[in-house]
Amino acid sequence: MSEKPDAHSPTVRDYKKAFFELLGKQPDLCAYRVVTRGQKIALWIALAVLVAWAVWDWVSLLLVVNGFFIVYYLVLSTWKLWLIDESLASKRELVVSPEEVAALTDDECPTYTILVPLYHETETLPRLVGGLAKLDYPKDKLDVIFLLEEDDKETREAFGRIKLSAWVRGVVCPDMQPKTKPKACNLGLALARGKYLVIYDAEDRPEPDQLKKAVAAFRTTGPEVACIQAKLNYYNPRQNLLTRLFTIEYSMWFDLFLPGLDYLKQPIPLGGTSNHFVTARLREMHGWDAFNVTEDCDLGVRMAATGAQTRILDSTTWEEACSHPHWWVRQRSRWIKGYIQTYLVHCRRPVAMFKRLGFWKTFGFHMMIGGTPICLLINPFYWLMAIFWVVFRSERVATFFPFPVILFAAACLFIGNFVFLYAGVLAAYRRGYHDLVKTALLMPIYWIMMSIGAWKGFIQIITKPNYWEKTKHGLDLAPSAGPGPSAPPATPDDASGGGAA
Amino acid sequence: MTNAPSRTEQLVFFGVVLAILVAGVAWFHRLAASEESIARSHVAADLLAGKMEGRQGLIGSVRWAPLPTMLALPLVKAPWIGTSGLALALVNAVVAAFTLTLLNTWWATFGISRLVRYALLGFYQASPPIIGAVLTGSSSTVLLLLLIAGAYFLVRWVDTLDLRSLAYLGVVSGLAVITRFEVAALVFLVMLVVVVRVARSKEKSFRAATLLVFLIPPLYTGALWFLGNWLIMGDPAFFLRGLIARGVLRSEFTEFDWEWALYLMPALLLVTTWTLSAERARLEHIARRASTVVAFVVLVVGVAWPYFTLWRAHGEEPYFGRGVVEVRQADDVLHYLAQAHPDAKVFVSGYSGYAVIERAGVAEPDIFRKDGDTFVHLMSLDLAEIERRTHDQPLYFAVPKPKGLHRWEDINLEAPWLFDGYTGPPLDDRGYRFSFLLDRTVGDWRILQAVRRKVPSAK
Repeated sequence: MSEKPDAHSPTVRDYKKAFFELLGKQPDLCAYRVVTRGQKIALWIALAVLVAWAVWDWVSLLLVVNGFFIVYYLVLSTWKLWLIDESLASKRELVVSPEEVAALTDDECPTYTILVPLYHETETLPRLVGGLAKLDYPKDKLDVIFLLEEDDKETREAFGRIKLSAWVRGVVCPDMQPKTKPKACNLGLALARGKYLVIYDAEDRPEPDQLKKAVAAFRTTGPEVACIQAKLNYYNPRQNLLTRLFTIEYSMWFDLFLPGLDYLKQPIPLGGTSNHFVTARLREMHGWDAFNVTEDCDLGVRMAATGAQTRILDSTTWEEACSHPHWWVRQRSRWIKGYIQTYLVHCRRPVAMFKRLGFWKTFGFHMMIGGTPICLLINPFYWLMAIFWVVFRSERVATFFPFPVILFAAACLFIGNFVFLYAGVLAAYRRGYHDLVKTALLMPIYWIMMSIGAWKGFIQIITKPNYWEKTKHGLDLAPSAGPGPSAPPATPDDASGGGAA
Repeated sequence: MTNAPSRTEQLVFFGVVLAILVAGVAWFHRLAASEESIARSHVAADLLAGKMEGRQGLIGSVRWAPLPTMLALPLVKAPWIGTSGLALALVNAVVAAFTLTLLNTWWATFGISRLVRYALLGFYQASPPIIGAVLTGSSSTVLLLLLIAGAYFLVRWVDTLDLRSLAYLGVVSGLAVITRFEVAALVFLVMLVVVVRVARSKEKSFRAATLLVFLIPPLYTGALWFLGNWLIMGDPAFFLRGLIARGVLRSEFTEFDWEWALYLMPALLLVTTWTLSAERARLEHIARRASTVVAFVVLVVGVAWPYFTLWRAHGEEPYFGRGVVEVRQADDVLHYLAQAHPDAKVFVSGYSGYAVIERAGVAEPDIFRKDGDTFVHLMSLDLAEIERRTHDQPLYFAVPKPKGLHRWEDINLEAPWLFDGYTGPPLDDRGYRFSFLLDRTVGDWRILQAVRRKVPSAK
């Protein structure tokens, strides 16, 4: 399956086996069909009941629906507040000191596979290869696999022009639907030689000692830990307002929420890249779901269901924050679509899921995986209602908010929104982006964009469920992007002061 | 935190303290209830009932800040509790137990022995202003928790600069502002401490960010108060009317609120804690003992001082009863009205008016029979509304005497000056069709007869 075909070229059957192992072994957990027949029937029945209820008495229907969402919001806000508190209480993530890294000898470093899926990444390729070369890891122990796509001639040609080291190889994925990153990664997994395996995206800049930190962390944790997720953040936070807000959101996710989930031993929605796996454990899980557009999130849930633990590592991979609203909305719509996919897939058999995850993890699953898209989809209605009421003082709006519903709604509006806004402030501060703290006050603008992306993703789950909305990388390199990329900060303190304006 | 009590010990401590305080609250409630607890309970009940009075009562006055009322919300519909005033006292029992648990945990981290801790906490909680606030359902108890927690987080943050302490300091400050508006001054002082603490940092953005993290919650809660007034009352500064009226009418500023002593308490506890913690780290055995004794004496004197000053200052009225004087006088008002004007329609207003409403069902249940609407409570005495609601019935207003710093708050939020000149001149020039005649003074209350004036039809 390598770029230069060997004597035993794989057949289409071999590829399919590698790509779609989960579909073959555990079809119930695969997003090949987003909604099963049983779910379709349940959804149609629910819709019919709602329509009938609306015809009978639409006011009471909206009242009940409203009450349900208000309570859900309150529980979700409280839950996230708890996560924030836990992560602020102390360093909940795995911390590996420089001394521990230095103490790791070459012999103690096992073979490490790095998967780099590439699709239309000609601009970022040279930077990527340079970045990988800087990794502080014995090169003879590296097994870097560039996953190329058959229909992406430009990237393959660019890849061909690069002088490759012995520890780098390229693999071409045949042009086959679905065109998703996890499908390519599954091929990489089939070919991986490393004891551990990590994925980096084309624009990623991992901290040079991240692999060693991961090895050291795996050595100190028990066998229950199957995955270690490094933190993700952006190297271009100050490019424009969008990247500022995006950076704050990412800091909130990786520096506040995920460490909190880690501490509470909850299912952790993995972060797309920089997730370090025990390769054997990943194979036991049958790799990624090739049909899920947030395969990382899905894998996190599946691992939690089997008792495999994910921990957060205190090491950062610097990525490119999408700086253009058009591309940002595409990326966000894919994420939300993937969350909905994951939610639907794991809710196919609620009782079985409950048995697998137990009460608290099931609760956490509904909060984090279900809550994220649900809130983003519902938020615009509440914002509009609030504005409508303030402007027109409409009694009609008041009909749906009798006491004590209005009290809970007010709590959601005034406390819930504050929690999320203040979380952005705390996240920026904690990450060392002190100059972004005041920008966090503009997060409500960002929430509107998130809801736009969510609705696009929601519509796509119906129209194009497995379509992968590719994120365009290298926008920070574009002439209009300002003075160019800032160097990834070495420490949070550097981050606060440095960077291009 | 190596000496911190275990989670189980903290829970047991909390449970025991709570049980003792709840027993005390239940005992005291059989004797009396305070005006504040009754008023806040009624506001909470009106709020749950969707009444305008509830919304206005929640946000409509700086004196009656919203947070303590909100804490009573879950209890005012409960049987046996209702609007009797017990709700606030029970909330206070929980809050006080939490405060003591926090102090116990805090002191334990400094290595203070359990015996000394319990003795100090006992003295503290038994202090008249402290226990009095719990039993009478005063919002002071909530304020004390926030002040002590604020002191705790401030000390931690100054020592470690950790984000969690700073965030909690900000949140606690934000909550304190909507518990007692005077805390805004304290927030300003703490802000200065924050500024001084980070002043040495070379990074300007760090200094600004630190200040923002602290200030955002109090600014937010303060802004919410304005916003709430704008949304509900149509005037963002509505809740400041009492203060504005006080300024306009040049009220006497020589009076002090007796509860100012409460504000000293966290400072006292802070000094004690610092003394105890410093001596653990540095001093010799004998010096440690000596400093412990000094701290103990400071606390005892500080706590005992109110026994000899505040308690005695109120003469024959027991200290705990101070918060319930108004309620007892409400009984006297009711008794008088029942005797002298059994057919009258009586309007009461403001927060203190709730006490009359509450007691009407308890003190004189048989005398005011009829259709049960003898007493009408309006948060603000809107005379146009009263005129619309009444016809030829004799009309009386029960109004607290204007006295004290909050004299205009309790009387009439819409027109705080209305009853200052009650001697009878018509109020045409102010757009009212009533004259008021003083009927009787009962304790701190005045019974005013409202006399309708015949006005030209053009009006």
